[in-house]
Amino acid sequence: MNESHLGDALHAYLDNELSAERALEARAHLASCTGCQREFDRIRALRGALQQALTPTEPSAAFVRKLQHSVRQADPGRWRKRLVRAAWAAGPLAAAALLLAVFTSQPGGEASAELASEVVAAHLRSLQADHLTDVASSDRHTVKPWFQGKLPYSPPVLDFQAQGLALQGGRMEYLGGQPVAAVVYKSGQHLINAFVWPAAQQQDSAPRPGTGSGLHTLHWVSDGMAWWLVSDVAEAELQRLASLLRAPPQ
Amino acid sequence: MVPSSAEEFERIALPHARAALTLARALVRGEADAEDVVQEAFLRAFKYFRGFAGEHPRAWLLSIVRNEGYALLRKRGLTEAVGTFDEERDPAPSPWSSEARPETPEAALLRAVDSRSVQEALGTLPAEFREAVVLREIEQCTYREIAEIVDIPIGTVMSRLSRGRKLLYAQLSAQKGGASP
Repeated sequence: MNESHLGDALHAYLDNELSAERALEARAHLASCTGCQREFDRIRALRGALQQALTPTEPSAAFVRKLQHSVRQADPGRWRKRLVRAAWAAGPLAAAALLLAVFTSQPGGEASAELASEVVAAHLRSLQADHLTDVASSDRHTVKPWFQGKLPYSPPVLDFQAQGLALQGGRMEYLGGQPVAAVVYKSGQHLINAFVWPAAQQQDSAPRPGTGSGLHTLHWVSDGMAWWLVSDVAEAELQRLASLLRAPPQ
Repeated sequence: MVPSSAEEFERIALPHARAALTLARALVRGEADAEDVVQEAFLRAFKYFRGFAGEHPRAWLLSIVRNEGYALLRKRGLTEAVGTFDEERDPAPSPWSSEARPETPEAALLRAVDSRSVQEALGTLPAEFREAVVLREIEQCTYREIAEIVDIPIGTVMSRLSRGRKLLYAQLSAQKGGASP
């Protein structure tokens, strides 16, 4: 293509994406260049054909209802609200007892058994097709920025390829009622999910192993972050990853 | 009564259901698959909703629709990995500079094209060009929005649109040429 033609800038001109100054230049060029004029006409004709062929149709009322229904089914607040209503219907005394039971059993902290089973469930879910990573990359400079704007904190993302624990990517996960970062590592053929979020308690704690559904978990708090590792690898391998995360090699 | 998070989510997300469907239709084949993609995306978006701190709900939602769309394409084995197009190695064809073609007025050429041909032609494009063209021409997204949805630089949005339109135009002229020699 001739260097003096507008090229891609012609598209930006037609899309109103050029600065005022560059748009003026483009317009001046167009006035004197039949090649670019033809191209301009083609883009416009194509736009007309596309808009005619693909008139956006509003989603049907039935589909909108389906969307609403599936979102409401997934609302974590739904059961508690229903319970509150049911409790009041059952009378004040029953309500008091029921509500006390419900609200005192609520989130058990970062080391709770409830959270441990959520961690295991999240790991198993992530192994299903196409759910492992939202951003698949072994480059931590790709994975780390991906979390920006999605989380109110910046999760530590490291690569330990040299140590046999290669970074696979990251995704968002929902644990303990909040969105958290999931960073995925691979040891041999085994995948390890590392979940991390700002700890509610500031006190560091040593890695504590656990098991569930045949998987190993490891939980600790360090540098103000709560960590959960989960995988089907041997516990020693999780401990090794934990040491690397707690004190990254320089 | 305080609105539940589901109601709050619906207030923000439902107005973009149409754009979500348009993008899903551009990525996957068939209305049923497109609706599945949007439904999955809405659920996923709702899951992350409390962590959503951005200012552009449409771009945020469409980026999730896009991820779900590509996931389904991969599952169906319908896509090559994104980004396999190498602009340097594989330069854009330039049907537009072909002076040998008899000069038909462009508008006249495309006016006679029916919507099925347009959809078929669009279907021959790699997904990364389909999405850029449809987001721009049908949903009138700005380059900045497309950049955010697809997670690419604005300059790449421009080159994908340019390349996508050229490919599409070439495809349509070829169809046209085949139909009326």
